[in-house]
Amino acid sequence: MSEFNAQLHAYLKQHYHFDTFRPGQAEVLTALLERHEDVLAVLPTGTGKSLIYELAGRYLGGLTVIVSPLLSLMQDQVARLNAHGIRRTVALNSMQHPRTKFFILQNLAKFDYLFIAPETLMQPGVLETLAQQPVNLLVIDEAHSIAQWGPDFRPNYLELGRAYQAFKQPRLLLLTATAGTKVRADIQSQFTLPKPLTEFVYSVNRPNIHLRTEKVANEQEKHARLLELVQSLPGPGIVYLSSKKQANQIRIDLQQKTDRKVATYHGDIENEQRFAIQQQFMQNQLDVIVATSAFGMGIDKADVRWVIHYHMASDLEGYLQEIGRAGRDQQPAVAILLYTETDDYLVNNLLISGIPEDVTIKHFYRQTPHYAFDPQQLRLLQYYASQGMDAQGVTQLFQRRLLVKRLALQQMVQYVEIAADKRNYLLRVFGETELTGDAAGNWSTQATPLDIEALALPTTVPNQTAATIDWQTRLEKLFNQ
Amino acid sequence: MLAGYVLTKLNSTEWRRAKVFGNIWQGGAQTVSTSFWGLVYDLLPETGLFASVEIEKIVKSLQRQGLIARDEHGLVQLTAKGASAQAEYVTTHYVPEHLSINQSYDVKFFQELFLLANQTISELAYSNAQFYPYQIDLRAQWQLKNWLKGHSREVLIKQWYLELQTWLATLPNADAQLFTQMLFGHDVTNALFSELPVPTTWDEFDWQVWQLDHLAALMTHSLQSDSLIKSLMTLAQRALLSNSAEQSVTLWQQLQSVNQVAQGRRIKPNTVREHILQAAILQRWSANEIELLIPASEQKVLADLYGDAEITTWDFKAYAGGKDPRYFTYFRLYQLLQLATKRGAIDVRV
Repeated sequence: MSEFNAQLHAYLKQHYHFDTFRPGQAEVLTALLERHEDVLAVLPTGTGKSLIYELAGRYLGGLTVIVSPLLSLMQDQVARLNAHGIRRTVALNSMQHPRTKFFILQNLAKFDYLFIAPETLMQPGVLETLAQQPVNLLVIDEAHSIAQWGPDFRPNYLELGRAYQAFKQPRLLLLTATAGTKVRADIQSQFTLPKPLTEFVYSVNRPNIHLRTEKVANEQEKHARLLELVQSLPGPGIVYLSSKKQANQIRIDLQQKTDRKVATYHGDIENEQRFAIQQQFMQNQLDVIVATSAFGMGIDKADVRWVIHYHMASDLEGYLQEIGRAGRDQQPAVAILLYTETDDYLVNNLLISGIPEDVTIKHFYRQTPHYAFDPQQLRLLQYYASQGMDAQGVTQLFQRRLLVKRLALQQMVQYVEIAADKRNYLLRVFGETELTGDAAGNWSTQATPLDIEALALPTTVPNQTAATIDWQTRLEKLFNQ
Repeated sequence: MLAGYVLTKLNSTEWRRAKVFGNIWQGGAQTVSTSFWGLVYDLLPETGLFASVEIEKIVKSLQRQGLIARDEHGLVQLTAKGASAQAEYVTTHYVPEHLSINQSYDVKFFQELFLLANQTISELAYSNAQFYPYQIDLRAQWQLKNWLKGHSREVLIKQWYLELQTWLATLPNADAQLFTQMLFGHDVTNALFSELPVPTTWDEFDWQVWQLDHLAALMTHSLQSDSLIKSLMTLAQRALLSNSAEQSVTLWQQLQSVNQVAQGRRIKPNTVREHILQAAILQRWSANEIELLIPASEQKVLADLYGDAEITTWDFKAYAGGKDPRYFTYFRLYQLLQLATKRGAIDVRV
């Protein structure tokens, strides 16, 4: 073991109490810190990506800026670093009061890690203020967002190259769990680098997760199947849906008709209830979380045994991110996608609703008075107008984007439809070498009944909450009296 | 369910400004008009409690259900159906009782401080520094950190525990039980709404209101002695007036005239009058104090004009439409005077 490697391991032991790194972690850190390279790392979900920038930040000193896409996740990311003993951490985003944002910017020297949304980073004044600090590491978390969301949803992602220059080219680390060749090339193209990014591409394959799709006749059948699965699958699990309203309804139903303890998790949940859900889930006091995909979940729980998609994701990247919450302890887990023929219409409608229609683009460029623009679409159009694009150019751009998104949706539907070699289908989509023999297995469809026992899912013993103890005892327990 | 709660703020005899509800619940800077109507509707104790309220949406929905009527100026009142819904709401949902302290201390902000303080002290009691902290506004976190540093470990653990225990013992057992369900700390999680022993008619909004109301009760109790919780409350103390209003009122109370204050501060006399009005409303000046602000001649004109009519029905134009803005100040002050005299309760300065 080299001196550097020994030092890395000593850090790992000292701060995280682990003896060994997970695959990819040490390689990325060595490239970044010993060989001084900028890195694009594609590491499957559950490999501990955050540990890489935590450790690199500790090693490099100065300020580590982490660009993170999900506002709802940022506070959880801060809390996670706090729990690792890193106190000088802060999040800066549009959900904060302007007074708080000002306070943070005034006190930047007091922080070692800053989580920031791309929109906030590119705001006038913010980038300039940050650039006055010694930024030693710029991390782009969920870097696939640059290609996936940049052009038609969050154009500020396309300006991160400017931030990199403003910070005087610090060490650059781009992290994602899913990025095919095209996405990786798109990411590279955003940055003007002294030398190309060093790529570490690990397979998206998660061999311990059994992949299953079940096509059902209609909504009622899907609902009944969900109840059946939630009742029979062991261990903690997550159900993903695309609508908050339906998430609430399904929670009530699951709570009433199964013996599992269930909670919903989405953007409308009050802060203290969100905390209760996170903590209870972590401590095995809560069995099932019904979550919306749009709302990031800041829960890093190693023993989630199953993920069920009640509504499918809009692309395979998103799907793999979500099922990647299962089996992070490398023990067997299962990902089940329930699907009816009409589901892709629902997703397709969601895709279309995000992209401005031709008529909207026309009204924008004609500056039609009192036209009711969707605020998200307006921001997007304003961005492209500020880049000097005309109506025709923007229209063509969105048409191309829509095509790309529809293709991605088709791949998702194809994943459900395909009745042979499902695991290799995923690998093909991401441009990976196909597996052979047993390694290509561990998947199934509705054609065969799900044999839960054969999955050998480890069981987790649920903990009782302290809900039933009297208030005096609870108080004594809280304060060790 | 905030929509149902809105019904409790209305009646079937008086038209009310729904916008005022939204402005007050959202918090932030208030105009004199919002503060005044907030006082009339007894809404000021709920300042900033429901920041995400979309009042227009709620009003439209209540109107669609036939529970409220809306006049051409956008004022609303309960229909007969709305009155029944209101009666049903108050029997099946939680209605707060202790929120008046929220006018001088920000209960919502205190809730965040209190929960994180409680968690930190609990972890401290187990000498654990590595935990997943409850996430609150960063400035609040720093304030709390400084507050914690100002007390010894032993005092924090012992006194915090004792103060909570003493106060909880004064509550009915079921309330004490519920209150501790919202606390979390070392190896103790707070309860999900679905596992709380509350009436089946309650929803998460009731639980939210219950928590705020009981924290307000704890705060009111803690003010009575030199407690640890009282010292934490200082971080949540509200400045009732803006700096500018505070300056105007101070100068004016030093017996400078409105015009002198305006000249000295280089602001309009009417702005000074607004500052004084805002102070009278938010600092709850007594009827005697308000009376001194209105010339006796104007009081007579106003008394002759409006008599015993409900102040919500008074029309300013009938008194001094188009006249100097100071007459509007007299008009408002006279309304305040009537309110203060009638209620008596607001004769108490906070």
